[in-house]
Amino acid sequence: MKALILVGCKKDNAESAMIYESMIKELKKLNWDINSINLEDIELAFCTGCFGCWIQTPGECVIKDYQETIVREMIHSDLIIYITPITFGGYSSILKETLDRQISRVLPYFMKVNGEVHHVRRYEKQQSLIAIGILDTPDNEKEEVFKTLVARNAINMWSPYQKAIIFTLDQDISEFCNNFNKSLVEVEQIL
Amino acid sequence: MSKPNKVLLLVGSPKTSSSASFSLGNFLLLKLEQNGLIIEREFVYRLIRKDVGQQKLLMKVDDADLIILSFPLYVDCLPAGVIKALELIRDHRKAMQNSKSQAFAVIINCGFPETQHNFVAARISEIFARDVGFDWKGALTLGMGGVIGGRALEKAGGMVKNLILGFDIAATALAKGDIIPEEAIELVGKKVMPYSLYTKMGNLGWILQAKKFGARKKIKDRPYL
Repeated sequence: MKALILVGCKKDNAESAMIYESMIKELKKLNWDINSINLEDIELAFCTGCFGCWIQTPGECVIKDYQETIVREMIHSDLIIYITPITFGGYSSILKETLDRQISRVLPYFMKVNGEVHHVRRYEKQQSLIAIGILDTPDNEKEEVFKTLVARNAINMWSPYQKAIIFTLDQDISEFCNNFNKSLVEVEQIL
Repeated sequence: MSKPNKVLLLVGSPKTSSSASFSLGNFLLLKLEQNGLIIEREFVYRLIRKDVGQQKLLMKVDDADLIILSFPLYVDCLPAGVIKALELIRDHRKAMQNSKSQAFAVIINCGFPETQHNFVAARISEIFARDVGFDWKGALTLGMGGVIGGRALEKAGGMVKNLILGFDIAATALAKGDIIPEEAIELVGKKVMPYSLYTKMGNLGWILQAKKFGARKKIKDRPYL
């Protein structure tokens, strides 16, 4: 079982470091192989919206940088985990840089999924998604929007399982660990 | 909110002036000019990469009474460069005291036929406005952005008549300092052709584009297996 962790927080963020360490412990307990990428350390180009990854070099971004490694790792993982400060209800720009450039994982073609149009998947193997969103203070609206966003991403990227876990700074870390562990077990059950 | 005087269009597509985001935003901007507003336009992706551009972005935003952000939907929400711009604006405004009253509205287009794909991005935009103290004026959202591409709306033919009418109504309201009326939101969100036709044309379009690159038979490739 392979997990890819995409860390979309700034490195000086103490809470994300604490969450990260707790996640690693839980993953190791359940014998996951872990690959972790701290996105702040990596210089990635922005997606230019050229669709070259669909029509020019299908499946591969035409910009050659570390994103190629990230997409390769995504495809060979069973689970992708995001860690991000909840930014206006969504992801940080650091995390979104890599997410914008993952559309090579699907085909350009349209198809209907539950009455709504989405893109056809490119690969047989699909990845479950757990997104950890960090909030300074509880905010129902941001939490709801974040959860909806993660669910929408899971539909578009064909994730067989998705969960958004919110961590607020006043929260007990053990509660977070329990939620995370429960999600990992749920992911394992569908593998 | 009082009547705005200066309006700034921020184009949030990396394709800058050849994008649907520009065509749509610029159409609304010119309508606002006809309503007596002073207009300016900037391209987010040209400003965010370097300090000097970032400072220019913040200065332009500070100077505007009404900010209109027009962007494409990327993976269910705002493109990374647009989020970066919003983070910069948030951090800048945290350090400001007695910031003036400013209004904010967005135009969001996506390549899917249904406009509802844009709704999460609209909520994120609204929360941004709330967080930084902008007066939220609403979101004009539409699917089938690929139909417009980088063309001027006036040249897109009769199929965009609802879109044009919706923008007219929105511009009149925004120029008065009002929120975008529901009628305008509904008109802009109306499909410009049947969903089945759009998806068929879209699927064929990808094949033809791939053919230009000699990649017609590679579209379904799985390079990382």
